[in-house]
Amino acid sequence: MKRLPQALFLGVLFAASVPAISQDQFNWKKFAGQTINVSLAKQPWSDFVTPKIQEFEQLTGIKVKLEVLPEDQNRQKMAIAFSSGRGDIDVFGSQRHQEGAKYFAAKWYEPLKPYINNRSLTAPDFDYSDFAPQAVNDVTIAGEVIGIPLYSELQVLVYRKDLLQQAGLKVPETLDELEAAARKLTDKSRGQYGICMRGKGAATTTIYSGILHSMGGSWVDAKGDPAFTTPEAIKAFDYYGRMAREYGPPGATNYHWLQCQTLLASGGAAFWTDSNIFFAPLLDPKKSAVSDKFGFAMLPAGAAGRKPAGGGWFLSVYSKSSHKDAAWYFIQWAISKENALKAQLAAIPTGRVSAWSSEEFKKTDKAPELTKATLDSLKLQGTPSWGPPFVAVGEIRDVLGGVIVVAIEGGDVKAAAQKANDQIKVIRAKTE
Amino acid sequence: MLFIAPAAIVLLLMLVFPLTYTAHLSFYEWFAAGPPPRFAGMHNYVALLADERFLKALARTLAFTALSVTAEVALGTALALMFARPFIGRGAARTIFLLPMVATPVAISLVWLLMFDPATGVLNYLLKLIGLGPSLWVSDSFLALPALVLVDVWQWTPIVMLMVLGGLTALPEDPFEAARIDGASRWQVFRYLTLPMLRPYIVVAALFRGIDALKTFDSIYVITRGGPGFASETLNLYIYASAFDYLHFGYSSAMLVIFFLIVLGLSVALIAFRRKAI
Repeated sequence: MKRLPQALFLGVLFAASVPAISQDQFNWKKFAGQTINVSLAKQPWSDFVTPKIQEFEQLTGIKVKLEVLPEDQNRQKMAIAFSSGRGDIDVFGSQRHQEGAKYFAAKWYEPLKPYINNRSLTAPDFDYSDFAPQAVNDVTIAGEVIGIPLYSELQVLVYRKDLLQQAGLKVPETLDELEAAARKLTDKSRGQYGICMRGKGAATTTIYSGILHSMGGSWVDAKGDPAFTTPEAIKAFDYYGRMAREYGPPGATNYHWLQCQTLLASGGAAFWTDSNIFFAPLLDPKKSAVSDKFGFAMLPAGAAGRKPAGGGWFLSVYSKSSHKDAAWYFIQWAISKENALKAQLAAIPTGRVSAWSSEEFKKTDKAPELTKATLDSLKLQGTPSWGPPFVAVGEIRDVLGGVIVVAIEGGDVKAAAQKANDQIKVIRAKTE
Repeated sequence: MLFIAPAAIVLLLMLVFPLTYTAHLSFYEWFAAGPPPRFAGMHNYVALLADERFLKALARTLAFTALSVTAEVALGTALALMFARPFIGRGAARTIFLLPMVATPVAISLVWLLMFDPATGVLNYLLKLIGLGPSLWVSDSFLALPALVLVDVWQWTPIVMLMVLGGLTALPEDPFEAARIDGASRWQVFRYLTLPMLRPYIVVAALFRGIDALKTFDSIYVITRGGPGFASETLNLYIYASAFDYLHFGYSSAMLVIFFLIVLGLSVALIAFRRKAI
């Protein structure tokens, strides 16, 4: 209901300013005969859409040339094609925390708001407000919509119901409670750990994001400069390091999500916070020794509330495409309410609230608690991205990961953070 | 002239061109996701001198090489002396000792990675058997580089042994006979005869191993990928990340040029030393 006044306002504004357009009806066949090139990374979603391309071609008369490549090759191909200024890609997928800032700075994303707001170009049932705030936030840079979200990937907390019950603990609501519970559930002599944290360099920054922002910190300050020396950032580094060092398995600095997944599946840890796409194997009796004992909750709150990190792939129109309208037709069809629901039923966590809350999905859902934690998180406003908003995000994540390793090993976090902050400034000067 | 033309062309294409092109690139500022390459003079080299990550990686590369080669030469020579004398099962033992050398580096690195695991690895199990506490091995910033040296020593000591053993079998008999007649002790024979005569072989082995150790990539990439943090990042790994992950092609070329000069300098020094030794 909250969105109703906004929608009304937009509607009024629209009707007042461009009356001519409202007479121009939306028509799927408008661009029949055009050909578009669609470039995607191999993903659950690209597997889902590939066999459906014919439906789109029949509906619109637009011919689709689809190219699906493994993720790394897809990234390389796009970077080369775009930087050489070629326009033979019309629709492509990307991620905010990977290439988002780079592509946005290079003006490779066609801003989509004018398309969404144009009734002659967007189907009446597309309903952009159906996308979860977190997903919308992820595709919005400086007020511009750079893509339409395919997924709703975000950070969730998984816990062992049985261990919490035995210890008389309730599900942690705050990061402090999480630490207290992790402490209580750690018994190193028995190889039982309170929590599993990623510790492997750059991979840690993904999880650090949620903790940093929950504690009131941010990737950047008001001027857009890196903000890793603020008291909140230092507190988050310390917290991260302490959790991994005191209540995590030995050798944490070699842990990526896969190692944590294995540890949790073998029953070796009570908590783990990571992306919601990694939890399915935990619930599979063939892969997990404790498959019936997991519960899911939102990332516990810090001083600034609950700020789970997130962000998934989204589809965009290339700004130098010569078939932008046809490309937009493809995107709105691909992530229409109907197709999103079908994807959701195929166990793809989409960005549409209507798909998540549909009765059909609820009936087939194998992890309703995970769904609830995901949905509750999706409704949060102002949640952060997995990665910092810099062009050289890979290099900067490596530098930040170095600070977290220092924190895990109990070193001088303040000095390391100061040095990293300076290094990041040097890197940005070279690349932005 | 015509006979050497194919060789000259191959040399030109495979060696001279890449080298000069890399050197050429090192004077350009080129971030592949940014604007086109721009001539920057010595800028990359000046920036390198202020890049702590580069300087630390350089120091680690030299430390890794020095530690590995010293241990390999000492152990390899000792093993060669052992295998020079006949004993029962010598052939079989020698074959077993050569196995690490012929195994695929990536495969054995993965095995070592499993052995290093603090919770499930066999190394901590062995430590426990002899009453020592568990170690974090490659998950510990201070132990990661020494642990990688251990892997290198395990894998490459055999080649030093093989080269020194070859030298031992080629030594002339006469001086040893003379020494025996003069009543020299075994230590004196080793110190004043075997070792000086073996020196050229040991130097060659050290030179080969030194150049190889400087360039080590596969085992470090597989086992630690330079981690924890940057604790075991050598020059080769930093250059790889800088070029292929971060897309700083000009900057990486400057690092490569410096790396090349170091390898070249070391080779020239060791070859000169070897001439003197002979």
